[in-house]
Amino acid sequence: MDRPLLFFPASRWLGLALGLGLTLCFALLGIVLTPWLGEGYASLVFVVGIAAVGALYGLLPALVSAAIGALIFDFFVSEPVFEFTFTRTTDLAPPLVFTACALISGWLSGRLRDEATRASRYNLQLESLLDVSRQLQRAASDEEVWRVVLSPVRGGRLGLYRAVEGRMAPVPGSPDDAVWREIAQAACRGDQEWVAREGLIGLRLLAGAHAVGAMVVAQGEADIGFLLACGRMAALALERIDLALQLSEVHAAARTEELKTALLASVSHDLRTPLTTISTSAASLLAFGPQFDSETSRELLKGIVDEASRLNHLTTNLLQMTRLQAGEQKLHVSLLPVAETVHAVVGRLRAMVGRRRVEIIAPPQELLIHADTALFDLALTNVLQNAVYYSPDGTTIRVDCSAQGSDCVIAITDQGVGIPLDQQERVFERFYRVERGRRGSGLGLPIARGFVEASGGTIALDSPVSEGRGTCVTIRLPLVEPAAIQHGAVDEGL
Amino acid sequence: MKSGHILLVDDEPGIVTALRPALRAVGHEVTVAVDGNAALAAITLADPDVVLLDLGLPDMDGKAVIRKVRESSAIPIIVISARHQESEKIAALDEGADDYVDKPFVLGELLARVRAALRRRQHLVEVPDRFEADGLSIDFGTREVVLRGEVVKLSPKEYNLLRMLADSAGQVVTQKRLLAAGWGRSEADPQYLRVYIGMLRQKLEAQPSQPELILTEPGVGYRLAIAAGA
Repeated sequence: MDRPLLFFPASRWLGLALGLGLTLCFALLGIVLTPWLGEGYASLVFVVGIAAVGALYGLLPALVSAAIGALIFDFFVSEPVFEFTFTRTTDLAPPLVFTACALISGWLSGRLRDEATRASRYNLQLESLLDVSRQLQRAASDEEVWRVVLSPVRGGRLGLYRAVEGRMAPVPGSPDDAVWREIAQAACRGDQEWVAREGLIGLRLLAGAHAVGAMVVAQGEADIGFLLACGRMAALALERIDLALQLSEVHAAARTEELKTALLASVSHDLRTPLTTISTSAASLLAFGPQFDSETSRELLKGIVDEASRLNHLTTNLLQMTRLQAGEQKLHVSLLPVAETVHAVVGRLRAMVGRRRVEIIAPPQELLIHADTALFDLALTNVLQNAVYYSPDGTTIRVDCSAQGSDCVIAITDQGVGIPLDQQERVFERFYRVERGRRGSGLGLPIARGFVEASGGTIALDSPVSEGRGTCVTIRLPLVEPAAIQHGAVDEGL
Repeated sequence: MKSGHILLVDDEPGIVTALRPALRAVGHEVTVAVDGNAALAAITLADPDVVLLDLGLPDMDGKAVIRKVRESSAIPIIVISARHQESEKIAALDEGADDYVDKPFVLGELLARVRAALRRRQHLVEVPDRFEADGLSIDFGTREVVLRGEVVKLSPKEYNLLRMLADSAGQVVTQKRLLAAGWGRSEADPQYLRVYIGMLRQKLEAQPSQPELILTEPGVGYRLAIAAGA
């Protein structure tokens, strides 16, 4: 805090040396001018020099300067010259005047220096308060607040305590000491905003009218006004952190609630639609069966079968979602042949594929991955189903399986409507559906992503693929090297 | 009018396949539309008698379809929805739908609702001067209400409410429409409506605590439960 002002040299010895130099300069000037000025006026030159030394370098250099000045004056200027004589009463005048001048100028400059030091200290305090306030605005945790208010305190010992149900809980980093906590407690209770005892100062942290806690710091390390100001700002920062936390909790609760609502709406809608078809078909057959021709009856029965399998698929999706959420330990990992699984899934979807073409490309050597059988099957089914749902008859869906480095890459490309850019991330959120249709449960892609990530892979989506149409979903999973199997590193059966 | 021309609007092929034969079996002619625009076109071109409308359509919201239809036509619209939310139903009814059925529905009930809608369609064509069903008869000219041979005395408000329900017999009538009929303002306190419905039930129901004539549709409105034999 004691930053030296420009004309006050840092070291006392330097001040003395410079003062001495200045005295000698003026003394020389006085001696040189004596023949013209006479003894009396020459002494004034000495006085100017001593006053200057006092003003510039303080009391001690001024007194030294006065003593040396008096000796030089007596020896070189006053009659008889080149002799120390203190016989006349007038010989006593110069030392006395010089000393008085040194005392006055030194005292005045000391006061000036004190004022300047004080001003500069206030300035520094203001600057550091400003700095503290700036940093507090960014503080996102209690510990950061503590770190920020600690920085301007000299001793490096400062404690922040939060009032939690009437007790004082130290903010991480603060001394967890019974005496400190006691003083924090006392600061929160009394009439005054701060207490000082046992060499410590405790300050109440006020945010508005209520105390959020207390700040404790060793006495003498910073002045109380400064500490109070710091305390107020820390209190506001702590209060802000509390509010931000509450807000994020409210948001999180709202999101969970939203998700639940979406789940209920989605599941109820998705269950009801096939149920309606099944019940209506069955009721129609029951009520009007004899009137229907065989084709109509067959269609109604087929509707029942189809919708029952759709219900089944939805149930599977929901079940697997639950498994994925339960964590990795619920997954049954085994060695799976990729192309073979793709062929099996496509075969199962044959009826749905209708007049679209499905092209499967795979290397002659089967690609092997480590994954949960049911989930891998379901993830492929979901992605392929999307490709089929969203592409018109006559288009081609391409499933390209390949090995790229240590990854097995399955790219499923359709020539369908594509997915708008702003929704490409959202389609992986549970229960989100692109607003151009309402098929599906909103669970397909989230399950695919959940599965792929649980298996140490990635899933990405590109759209449009070409000419503003088409979607490409790329699944990357860690490839199991055939060599690893031969060496017995993998012992699970195929 | 026991059978008519039904426009079935649903994008779920399963439901269309399931419902069409039953509607045909009871004598209705059936046209199918798979989205909102096809539905609007079919209403203009095919001139159906009743529309069965699913609210979740791929191209536009079902409520928007209702609004567009109501700009030019009073054709009865029955909403079929899997979204079981009162607000959704009320919104659809406020847009001008005549009735709604939840998915999954009971086939018999859906067919009864279609019959009620067809009857209302007939009323739109030829304004009737009386209402007759299950022992309840209302003379719209003299405002005389007769229940099982006995004249029932009703206050003007009670009569207006009953008339409103009878006009849409078998179909749900929203609180808003009933309030408008009884009090002239649709934003009046629904509490009044409950009180007057209670009084109507006292006069018309055999057991007012277990109403069989004026049924409550929770959160939506009321329905005059006459299977409109007329």
